[in-house]
Amino acid sequence: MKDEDLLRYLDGELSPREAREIEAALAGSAEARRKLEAMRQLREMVAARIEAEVDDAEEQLEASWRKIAAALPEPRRPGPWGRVRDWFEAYRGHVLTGALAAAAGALLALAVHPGRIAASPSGSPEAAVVESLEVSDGSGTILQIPSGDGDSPVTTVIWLTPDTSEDAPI
Amino acid sequence: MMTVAKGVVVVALVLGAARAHAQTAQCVVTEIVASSDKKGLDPRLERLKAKLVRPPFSAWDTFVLVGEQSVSAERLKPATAPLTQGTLTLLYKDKMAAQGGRARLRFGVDLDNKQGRRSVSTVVAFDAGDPLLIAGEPVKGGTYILALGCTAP
Amino acid sequence: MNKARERPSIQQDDDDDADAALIERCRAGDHHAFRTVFERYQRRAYALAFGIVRNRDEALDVVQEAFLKAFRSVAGFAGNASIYTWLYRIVMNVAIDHKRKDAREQKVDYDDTIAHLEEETSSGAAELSPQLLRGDPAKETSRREIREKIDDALARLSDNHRAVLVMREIDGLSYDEMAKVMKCSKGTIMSRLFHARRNMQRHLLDMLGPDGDEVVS
Repeated sequence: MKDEDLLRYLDGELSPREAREIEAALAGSAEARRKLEAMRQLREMVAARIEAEVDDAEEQLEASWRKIAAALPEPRRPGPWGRVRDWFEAYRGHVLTGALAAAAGALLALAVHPGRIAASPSGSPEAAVVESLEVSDGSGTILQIPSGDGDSPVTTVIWLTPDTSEDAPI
Repeated sequence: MMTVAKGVVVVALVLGAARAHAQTAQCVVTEIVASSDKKGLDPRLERLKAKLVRPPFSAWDTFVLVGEQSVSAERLKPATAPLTQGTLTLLYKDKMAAQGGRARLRFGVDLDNKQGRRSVSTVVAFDAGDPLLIAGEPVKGGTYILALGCTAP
Repeated sequence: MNKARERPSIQQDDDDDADAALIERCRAGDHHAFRTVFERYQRRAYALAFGIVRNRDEALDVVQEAFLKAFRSVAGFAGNASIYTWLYRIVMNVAIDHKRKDAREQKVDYDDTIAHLEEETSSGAAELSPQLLRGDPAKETSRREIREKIDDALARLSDNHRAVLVMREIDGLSYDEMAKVMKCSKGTIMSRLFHARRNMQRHLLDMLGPDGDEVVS
């Protein structure tokens, strides 16, 4: 049995068949067993020494993050879908989703009585009210966003998210 | 008697006229493609600028008008209009009591894709003149936005 | 004391999936995601860095520089390697660069082939020794003298030998993974590991004594 095979056995790099062959050889060789044990001892020593060093340096290692963070470039402005995603969270007043399983071929309609929709953030004039929404091959989200337009301070947007969209905000 | 009769006739005529007007709504359908091509707002979309500079549309920097048309919708009768991405069907359902000086209109809005398959069906109540936006469908060159604004005199 | 980590394949798949999601967020410039990457791999990166440069301050510098390099180059990470082999490669390269720049280090880093031949010629034997070390040194690494002797033995290895030893004995990287990190063949990794262990064993036997000999009081 070669020392290389012994080390491959120690490192779990042998196939099950090869491992069984080595085990059979080990059973018949005290010297091979001592070599294996010596390698295990070496492993434990090196591992213990390095781990001890990592433990000792842990506090300084944690502090390294501050230096790294300080040197990181400014976060890039997210792309369009990233920004849309962020605003969805802020302005999703009431969500109606009509998700359709294309295979099922059925439309899921969620009807909401106007009275249950939250009042527009600005108060008056009143924002558009989506009474029902059915969306096939995707989902729809209703957004009510302050528009800064004096005539219609709140804009109602029905946002469609196709099922195939990898960048879907929702 | 005559005066009364005339008055009645006049009232009837006025009511009839109001009812006739309320039977038809006029809608402007605007089709927009939003993208990040750094070309700004199409000048023809100036009236929608206040809405397009706000989130979520502020995620894009280019807005191009790809279609605009007027559609007359007679009450309770479907009115269809071709779109660049398919077909729009409007069903003017009702005109409700005015709030803050503006009428509230109730519409059914259906969008069919180019293959004729219904993609969106919604019933919305909105103030006359206040555009409703339906957006998000990816199209060639960007993201599709449909703006629908209706009045019913 | 931690034994060499053996990662079950299922856990590895879960880790890889989580890492892939993190990398995507890092690509988008998400600092929080990068912090998570740092927390996940800081100890292992430090272990490898220390294993090569053998100096705490330098190892900390290596870790900082390596993570910054990783963040800047994450866009180019194709995802065709696991994140830690990619990261380890960066740590390895930065650590080796540090050593080369270190003016105090006069010793030439031998080509592995030459080092192996020299060792084999001088010792006359290329085999592992069946001799165990005296006592249980692994349990005694807290003792300063034991630590120093292990450090001395490690110092006498080449950088490449120390690197494979750390990656294998601390992190349990497979030969294939180490080959990706060091951009060499699996056969080279096996050779380096064999020589690293054999040389380490020889140095330790010299310093600590084999089982049955009284060398360290």
